[in-house]
Amino acid sequence: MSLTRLAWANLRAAPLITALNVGLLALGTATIVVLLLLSHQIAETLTRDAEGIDLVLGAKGSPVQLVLSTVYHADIPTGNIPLAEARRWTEDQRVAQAIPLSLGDSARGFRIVGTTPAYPALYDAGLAEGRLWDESLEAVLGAEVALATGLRPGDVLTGSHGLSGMGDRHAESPYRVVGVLSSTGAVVDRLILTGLESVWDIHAGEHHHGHEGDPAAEGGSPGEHPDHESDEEHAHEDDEEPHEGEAEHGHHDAPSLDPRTEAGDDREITAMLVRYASPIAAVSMPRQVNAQSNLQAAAPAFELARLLRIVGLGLDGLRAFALILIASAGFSVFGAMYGALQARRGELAMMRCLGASRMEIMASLLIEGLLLGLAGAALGVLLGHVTVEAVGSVFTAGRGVSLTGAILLSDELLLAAALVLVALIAAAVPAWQAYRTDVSRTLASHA
Amino acid sequence: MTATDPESLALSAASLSYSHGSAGTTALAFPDVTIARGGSCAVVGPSGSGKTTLLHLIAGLLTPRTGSIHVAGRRMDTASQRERDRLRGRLIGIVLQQLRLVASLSALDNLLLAQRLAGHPVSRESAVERLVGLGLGHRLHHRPRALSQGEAQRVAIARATLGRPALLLADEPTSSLDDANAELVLQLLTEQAVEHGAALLIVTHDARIRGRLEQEIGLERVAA
Repeated sequence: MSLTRLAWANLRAAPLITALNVGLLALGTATIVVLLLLSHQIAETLTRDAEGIDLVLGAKGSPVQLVLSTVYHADIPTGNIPLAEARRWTEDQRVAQAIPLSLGDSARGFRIVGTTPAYPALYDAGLAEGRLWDESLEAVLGAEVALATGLRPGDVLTGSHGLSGMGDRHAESPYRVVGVLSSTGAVVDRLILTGLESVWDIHAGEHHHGHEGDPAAEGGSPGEHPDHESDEEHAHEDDEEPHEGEAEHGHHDAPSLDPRTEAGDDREITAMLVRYASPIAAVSMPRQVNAQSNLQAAAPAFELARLLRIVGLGLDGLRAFALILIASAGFSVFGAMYGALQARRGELAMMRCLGASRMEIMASLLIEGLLLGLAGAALGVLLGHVTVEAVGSVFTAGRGVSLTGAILLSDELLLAAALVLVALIAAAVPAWQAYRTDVSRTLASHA
Repeated sequence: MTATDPESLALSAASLSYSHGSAGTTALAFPDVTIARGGSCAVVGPSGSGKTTLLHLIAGLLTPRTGSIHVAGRRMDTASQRERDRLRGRLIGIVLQQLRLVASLSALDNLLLAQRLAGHPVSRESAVERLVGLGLGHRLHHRPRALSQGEAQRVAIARATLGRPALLLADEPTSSLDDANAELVLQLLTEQAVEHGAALLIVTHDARIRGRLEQEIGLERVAA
């Protein structure tokens, strides 16, 4: 008959009050666990999407908007920029990789992104089916797009102007699906990828038709290129030096794509995703771009931090609410323990008669608080995870954040420890009073 | 009796006085109490005569102003509080008018808790045996609330004698009982004390106890 069993028996003897206290503690804990899991996974997803992108070059405007539209594909772009001018900056030796993006169309609610094979490579997206795009108007679907639309290689997809899906349909130039990417958990899962030339062809493309080779080479490492067929425009790419970001040098037979030799190049892209060769570039490059060009340079990490701070304000409010819940649970535990102390004073005095020390009397009450705290913490953590898992499976499909309750964060252990501490503190005052109880007077007064 | 070696006595309380609260208030003075091992004694007096105070002094729950207390040869009054708790658990069994069984524990668990708190090895068999011996075999797993007054009395007495104490203290064990039950409890207390080798000290104002124990010490009501 240990003190723990005694405490357990006392808790079981008042099942309603015990359940109330455990429930209150669990609710507060669960609320915080949900917040922890949500903010962790949102931040993780957002960070993952921006990984490998040190800088975005795009049209002037809001830097948050630029990052949202080109990194997270969640806002409308700030505008277009001349490909030639973007190139001028990305030929810089401070740049290790530059991936052009061209946005503007969507299909079935998913954005169509004109880019190079380096873009899916950025997210380690391999091919689940088919191949990457080779020619204009060939499209490769992100894993979620394929799942949602049921489209497979060989199917046809009609894009429409605008990102909302409400714009004019480009019915005369449908895409041919040639591949499906494997699932990555990143934003690329929800995109339809194609070559830059497709976008140009659809929108302004008469005079550029057929010159798809060069943008595909931009920034992509040769090894990631799709199998080239006998297309003569592709043949020379295999010979090119593996200098990422400086890939134009070998393209003398495609002069119209080199901005330095063709002043009249008016092709536009939406943004260029830049990876620095060295972190030192972060010091000088964004400032130079912003000061010396019509482009805007925005650092996703910086803008992300700003965004998360804004999101964090909302979470702080919820967190305060959860803390109030836990505090009231603490008061409830205190009330219950205090009531129990009054009811059990005689018993506790009798335990002293049986040889219990004052410490043991105090411990028996503290253990009750401890058990309440442990039960509340365990139930709360469980409840929080079940909630997030349920929310994740029901509400987040297709929204870019995949939520799961099946991860355990180290913060949760801290939280559980804090909760147990709250219950212990709530039990401490009654326990201290029990410690100080005058046994003789207690036994005499209830005669 | 004064010349007897404390080692051979279950209880020796000499020249005890006690004052409530701060020093300077009038002290209660008590007659000496000496009980041989296995002996018995009734301390009889009206309410307010300090019977319970005497019992609490002997149990080490109060500290006397003067005098000395030995239980089974161990000095109680000068020991530290923790040491007194230990000695009390090991040497003294206590039965009060209010039984104060732990309400959330079964009869058996009450006995096991007592073993644990007294620092005795917890022996389920001996606890079961004791309850069965008192006719409570069918009540092992009942909580105090489910027991009759007589059954609860027996559990409380079993709890007090389980650790084979040298001294069994009882405070008004019979006062609230009718004649038949008072007789039963008194018999049980004396039987159990004898059976387990404990000296018995009963403090009471119950006249029915008179003449039933080996010794009797009278306390006078003190003027406030």
